[in-house]
Amino acid sequence: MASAGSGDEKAAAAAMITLISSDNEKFEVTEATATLSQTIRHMIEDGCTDGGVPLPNVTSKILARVIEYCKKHATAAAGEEGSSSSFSDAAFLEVDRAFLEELEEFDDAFLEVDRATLFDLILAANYLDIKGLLNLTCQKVADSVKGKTPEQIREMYNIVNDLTPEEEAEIRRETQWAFE
Amino acid sequence: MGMLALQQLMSLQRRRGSIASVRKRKASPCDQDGDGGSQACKRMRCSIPDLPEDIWHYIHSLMPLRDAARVACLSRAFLHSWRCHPNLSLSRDTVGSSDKIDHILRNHSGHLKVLKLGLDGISCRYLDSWLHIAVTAGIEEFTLMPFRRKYNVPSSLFSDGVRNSIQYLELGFCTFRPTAELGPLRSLTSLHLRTLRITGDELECLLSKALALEQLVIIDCKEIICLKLSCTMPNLETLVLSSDEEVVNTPILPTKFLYLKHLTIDMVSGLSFSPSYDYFSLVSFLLASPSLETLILNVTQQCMEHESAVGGSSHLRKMPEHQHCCLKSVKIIGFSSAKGLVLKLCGPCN
Repeated sequence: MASAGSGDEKAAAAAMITLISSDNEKFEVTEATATLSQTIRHMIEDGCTDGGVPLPNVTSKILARVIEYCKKHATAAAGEEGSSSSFSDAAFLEVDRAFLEELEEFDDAFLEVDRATLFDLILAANYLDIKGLLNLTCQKVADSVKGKTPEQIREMYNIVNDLTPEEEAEIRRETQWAFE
Repeated sequence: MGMLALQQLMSLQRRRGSIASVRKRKASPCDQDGDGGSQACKRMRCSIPDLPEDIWHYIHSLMPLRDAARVACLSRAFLHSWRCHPNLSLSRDTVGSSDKIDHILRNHSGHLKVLKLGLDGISCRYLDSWLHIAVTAGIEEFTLMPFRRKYNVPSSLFSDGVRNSIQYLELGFCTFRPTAELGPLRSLTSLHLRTLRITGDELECLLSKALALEQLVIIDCKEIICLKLSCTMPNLETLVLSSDEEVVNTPILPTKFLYLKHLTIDMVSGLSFSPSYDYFSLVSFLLASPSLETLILNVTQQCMEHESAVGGSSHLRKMPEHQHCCLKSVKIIGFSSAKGLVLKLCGPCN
């Protein structure tokens, strides 16, 4: 695994993985980046990544974004490993804090996408089993319902109401406290 | 498809551990709905992709309580998802009355992971039956604050399944009388006791069942006259003790907290501690904790009746040379007489 340090960069460069999107575009990534996906990590462990990893459920547009996320967070993980093994004095803590803030800013900017892209990212994160990305994108959807009426939420996410008017009225009565 | 590609796909499918499998995607509601529904589906497909029901369920579980309750009326799937919402934080602020809490819990499918009951200003009439419904095998975090001093938390609550899954337990403003019959709490890593009626012996009994404990917080538990932590707590990393009246000296501890990293002792009082209380007895905590990294001692009192060590008649007591090589942060608030002693103890490290 690549960790901070120039000697390791060479090792990381040697272990490159090719990911192939549904529209046949090839992406070269380091193993450290690729293994943020548990799905790909298991494939590497099984030794079946030679010749590239086909990802028939992920388009090149979405895969490029997913890789962008993984690159950033793989660097973060490597940085964390590095700092925990060394003596964490005040200067180090300062660096850590700055880095975490930068990572948060990256995540916020990363989520500035339209709903269709957000949903595609959720599906890709789920398919590739990238916990951090799945959590980030799902939390964005969870936060988006705040202050919205049920009608607005149905409209936003094309959710079909299959309850009878009586059933809906009953549930509204039961959860009235949440609307007050 | 070449052998290699096939192998890759099989590996993909075999090892996938994510929330929803795209293949076993449940039929969306509109599939069963007749023509109107499938038109809605067509409209849906051209705007945003459909998420599998399990992912919606996960998204729902990330919403705070009020949002989660408001989306229950979106559709049948959301109603079902609300009925098994894994995380309920019920109090006057979030829900309101006893009747509303009762309604939520009676309609809940069980299988809660996190339950917080803060019942300040709420009737506890149904509390036993609520606990019976909501505290079941699989629960990971449980907070109970009945604000009834005499409410006795039933030990029967801690069934085999609950004892195996519970990781975080917080009890406050009530009574808990664990006995030797209580089985081991194998997964419990964090225990918070706040203004709880529990004796020192009962606490010792409880701790002897919780060997995985990493964090122990005891605040204002007045029935604990003598804190006996004689049982081994091999994993304890954080210990917080807070009290506003101490008359009996803190005992020299018979055991060591080999992994204790963070120790906070808070003895803030509006009045003053009895002059018979010997702060020096706190040093036994330091001696017992060779891995300590953070130490916070707060002994602020309105009027200090203890004699000052500096220029007073008492002699400075010397400790045997003792190194705390891991100690990185020390905060001492309110000490006047014993301050010199503690600093001397820590001196050689920094």
